[in-house]
Amino acid sequence: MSTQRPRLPLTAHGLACGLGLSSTESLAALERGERGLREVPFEVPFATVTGTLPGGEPPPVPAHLAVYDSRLARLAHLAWVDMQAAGERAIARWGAERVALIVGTSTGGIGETEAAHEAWWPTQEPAAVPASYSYPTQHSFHAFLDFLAELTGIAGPRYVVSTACSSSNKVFASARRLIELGIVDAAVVGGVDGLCHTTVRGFHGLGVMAPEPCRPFGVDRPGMNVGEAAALVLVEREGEPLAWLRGVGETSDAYHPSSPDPEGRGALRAMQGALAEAGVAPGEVDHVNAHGTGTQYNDIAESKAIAALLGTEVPVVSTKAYTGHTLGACGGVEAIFAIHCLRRGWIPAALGAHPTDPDIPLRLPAEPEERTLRYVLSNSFAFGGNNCSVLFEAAR
Amino acid sequence: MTRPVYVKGRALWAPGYANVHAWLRGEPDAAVTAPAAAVVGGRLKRATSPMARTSIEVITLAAADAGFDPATCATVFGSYHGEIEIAFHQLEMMRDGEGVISPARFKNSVHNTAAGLFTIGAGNHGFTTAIAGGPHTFALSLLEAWALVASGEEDQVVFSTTEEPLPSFIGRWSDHGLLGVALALGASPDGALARIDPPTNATGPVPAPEVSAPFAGHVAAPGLAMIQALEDGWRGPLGLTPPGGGPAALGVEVPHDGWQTALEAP
Repeated sequence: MSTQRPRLPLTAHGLACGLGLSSTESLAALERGERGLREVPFEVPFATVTGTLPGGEPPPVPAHLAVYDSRLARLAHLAWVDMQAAGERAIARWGAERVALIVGTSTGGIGETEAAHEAWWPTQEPAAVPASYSYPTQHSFHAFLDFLAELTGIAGPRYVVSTACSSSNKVFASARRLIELGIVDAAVVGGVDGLCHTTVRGFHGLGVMAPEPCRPFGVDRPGMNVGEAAALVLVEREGEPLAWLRGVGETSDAYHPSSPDPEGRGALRAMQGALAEAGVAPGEVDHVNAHGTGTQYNDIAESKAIAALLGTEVPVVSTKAYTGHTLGACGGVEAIFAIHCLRRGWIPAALGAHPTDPDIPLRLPAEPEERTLRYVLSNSFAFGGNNCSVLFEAAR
Repeated sequence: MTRPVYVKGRALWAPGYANVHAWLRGEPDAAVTAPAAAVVGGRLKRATSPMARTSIEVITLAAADAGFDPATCATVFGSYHGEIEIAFHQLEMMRDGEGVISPARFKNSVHNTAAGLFTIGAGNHGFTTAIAGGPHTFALSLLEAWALVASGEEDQVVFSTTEEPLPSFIGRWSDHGLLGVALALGASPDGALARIDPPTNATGPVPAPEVSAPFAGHVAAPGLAMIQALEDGWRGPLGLTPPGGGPAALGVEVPHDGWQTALEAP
């Protein structure tokens, strides 16, 4: 449906990704044009780099919540600490039961089960499973939300949206519905995914993993890099906005389980849906944070959709060249980048996009650009042909 | 503005129970062993899990029960554990041979596998999502589906909750079997079974029809209770927490007593 919807303020965010362990660190590294791509933090039987958190293992969760300890919970903890003051203010203002937790993830905490499985495999005896391993509190999808609920006291509805790589764009729509309908007054949304064998080996098996840093939209691009991140954004009924949430478009390709519609029709309708909800014309969009995985198929299909809707002059950047593809967290990460661009009046360089694939008809800034921005569109597309596009507006 | 939301159809599938009527009659049929999931073609169905095929089956059945066109209705696929059997297949692949995961498995390992296959099979270009809410997945799937209709975003939404058995060494956390339940919600009262309130936190015990073995305590059991309640013409508050210790059996702390909704005359 394309009825115009009221805007909601995005009032705070918390971030940990390959670029840094906080929003401040990550956004400064983005501005410096750094890549947060490093060695894979475990052994795999092929060459690649991943958007691994800097500084080694993230610190354990607080001791009283050790039953939840997992890479996912550790990432989520870092992101919460980064926005803790604003989060606690929102809980105090609205009441703990009036704040929802709606967060995306693609694999949950499967990394913990991978380790338990490796220990169990040689003997396949129950006693070989490490005593510290707990499937429901470490692996299952909602385990890190139970952790966040206990950590923060947030007591409103909490659930995971898990539509693979579009998960943490779709959470903005879920939260907005609950706020509009008066079910809650605020929501912590975003996405969390940790590096694990399942995704790194899985994308290699699909034949889309780059052995080197990815080059979205670049000629002869080698594929994608997997990354990890926790990105949380606070959406409130009212508040001092860093930026506004204006529109969300959610569509299905109905084409293929793991390849996009080559014409990008589902992506196009998702972007159209986001603009229609905001009553914003295509010509008003100042910048697109593309899904831009760096795979052959995604980048061609997405560029067709962007060019068809917005033309070929709007600056398009895939920040996955900086962070890797953080899967269920990428919508959240890129929302925070979009908010930063709107606040700063700045667009990062399209790292790796030059020389550009001649079949990509987009303007991909070779250098960062300083300019006033009002609307930024952020795309996330996923397995199953699941598309979600979110429109953000500058606060001023 | 909040629009009223109506229950328009219901469905379930489990081994022995091909549809709602077989379950309401309490007459399992041993010949019912695998869901047809006929909306998805044979090639696409290869290397899918019982979880995905059951989810697709109940979503399709509930859409048909409501008279919704599967090519246009919105869908919400709920599951606590998701594609857990395929997740463990992939772990075994890592231990064998080259340690690489097959693409056929990997593309069907995501939580929205059923959502993707359903939209492809039905030719549905609209809204679909996949969510996980732990032991309260049924109530939270209802919340997501209710909000889509109540907000005016969608006129017809089908939501499901499906779980398959936990494999390998995680089986010790729950011995639940394969079961999928789906309800169809709509904006129109025409032909509705009931009007339904949004799920809210229950602060004490809330009545619901009893769900007997083997499904008592299943994550989808509140869906069975709702189907029975609709059959009984239930009016008033309806509890949505899995009875019989579903969450407790998984060792999960539940910070409140659970969820409730209410069914009223359409």
